[in-house]
Amino acid sequence: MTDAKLDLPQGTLDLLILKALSLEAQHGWAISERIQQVSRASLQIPQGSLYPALHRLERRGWIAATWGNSENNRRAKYYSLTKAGVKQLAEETSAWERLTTAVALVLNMA
Amino acid sequence: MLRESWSDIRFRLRALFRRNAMEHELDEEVRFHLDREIEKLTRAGVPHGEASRCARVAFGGVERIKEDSRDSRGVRMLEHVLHDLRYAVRGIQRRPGFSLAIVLTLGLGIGANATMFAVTDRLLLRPPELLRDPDLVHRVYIATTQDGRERMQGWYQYTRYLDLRRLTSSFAVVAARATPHLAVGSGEDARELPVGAVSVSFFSLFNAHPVLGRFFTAGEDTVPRGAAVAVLSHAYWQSHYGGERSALGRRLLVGKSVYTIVGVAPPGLAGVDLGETPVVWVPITAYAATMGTPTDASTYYTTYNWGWMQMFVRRSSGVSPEAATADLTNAMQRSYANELALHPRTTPADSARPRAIAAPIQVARGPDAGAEPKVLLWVTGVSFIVLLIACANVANRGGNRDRRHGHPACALPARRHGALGAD
Repeated sequence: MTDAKLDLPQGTLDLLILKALSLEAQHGWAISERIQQVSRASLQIPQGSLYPALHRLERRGWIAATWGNSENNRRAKYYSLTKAGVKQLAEETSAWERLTTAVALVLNMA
Repeated sequence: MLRESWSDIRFRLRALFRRNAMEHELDEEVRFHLDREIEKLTRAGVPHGEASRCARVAFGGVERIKEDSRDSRGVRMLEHVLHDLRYAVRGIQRRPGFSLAIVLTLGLGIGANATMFAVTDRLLLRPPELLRDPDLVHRVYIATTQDGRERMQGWYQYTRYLDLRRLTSSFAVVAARATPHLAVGSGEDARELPVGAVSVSFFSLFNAHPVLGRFFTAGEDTVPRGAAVAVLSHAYWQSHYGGERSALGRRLLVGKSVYTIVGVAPPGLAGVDLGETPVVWVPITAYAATMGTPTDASTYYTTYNWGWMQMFVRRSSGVSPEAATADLTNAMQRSYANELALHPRTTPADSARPRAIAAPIQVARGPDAGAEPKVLLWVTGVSFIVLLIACANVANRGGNRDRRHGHPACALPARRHGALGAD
């Protein structure tokens, strides 16, 4: 990995959010932190752009939102994966893998 | 899939009806995020003011992101419509008199225009109902010059029609018709009504088939005297024969002659005269042989004394209107020569300069239109100006009001498109 930050390919933010929520319900800031940490800060995501995506996913019914208390005892909006969301994550993950495999094959062509 | 659309609908409904709650939640969510980020940075040793600035930079434009979040709710369009409606209702409630004045002003302006357009459409634009290929159909006028002035004639002799039909080659259909008002029916039921005295070819100008029985045939429309057969209009058949099949074969007194009913025309076949829908159609040769003076009735197809009918043509494909007029004029000159031979006291052709015109089917667009179309266009123009004045008045009053109370609509675009650089 290089130090330069990568711009996120179109449409992959949804996949990252679904993945980040696959372990446990989280609020927006924690999702952002998690993606930053796991990607070792190499993905360039303005934190704010998470929220329109979260609301879109909620509208699609892939995630559900509930208000709960955060670690420091403040009200926060927690998002969790729905059943449809789990299915969507599996589909998008496999599609992403097929895509990267295919692109890698082409790039490694002798 | 079904579950997905259900969740979608539920979400959108909530966005629509619990808008304030959702706005509040969005504010709280964003504030929470920023606070957590500031907290993280402060803990890492960044001074508080600096941390607050950095948190906002990392977040991106707060207002723009809120706006994007609203967009992702999928109800923006509806929200704007509702907002505009609420604004309109508030405006009407606040100043009902003012609103009423505006509604009346615009209503009058628009009403006058709609009426005038309807009249213009009827007189100048719309071809007769059921007419086939209206662009190819013409009303034929003839013109002769007397004492240096050209006179346009819409009514001329049956002999002229026979000449023009025989001597032209530009037309797929050549038809004759007169619309006399005659007593139709007998005894107490008799009424003076428009009658369509037409050549058999007249029906070929239309996309029309009899709903009962038949139209008359070429053998029934012949000189010297056509057969006494009649085709009822659909409306007359309904009102006087109750739409019964038994109408066929019945006898009907039209003018001085008794006709046998052989068919019923389709609804909509109203002929070519505005507001003069014939109640019954008879062969033009049957009408001419019975209704003229005794001399006219026996010579209407050989002499040029009795001008009483009009001719209609449909151009063959590929013939231009100008070529049709030229063909008609040429035929008219030869016909005029025939007339001169028969009636030597007629004005010589050199000074009469006879010609014929293939004119639009609408009388008001023809060469013998009179003043109506001009008046009509003037009045239409005036009513249009009235509408413009109405609009200007309304705009002016609206403008004055905005100056006094500030422009309420200004708040809207800012909300719609997001306040730029508000972060």
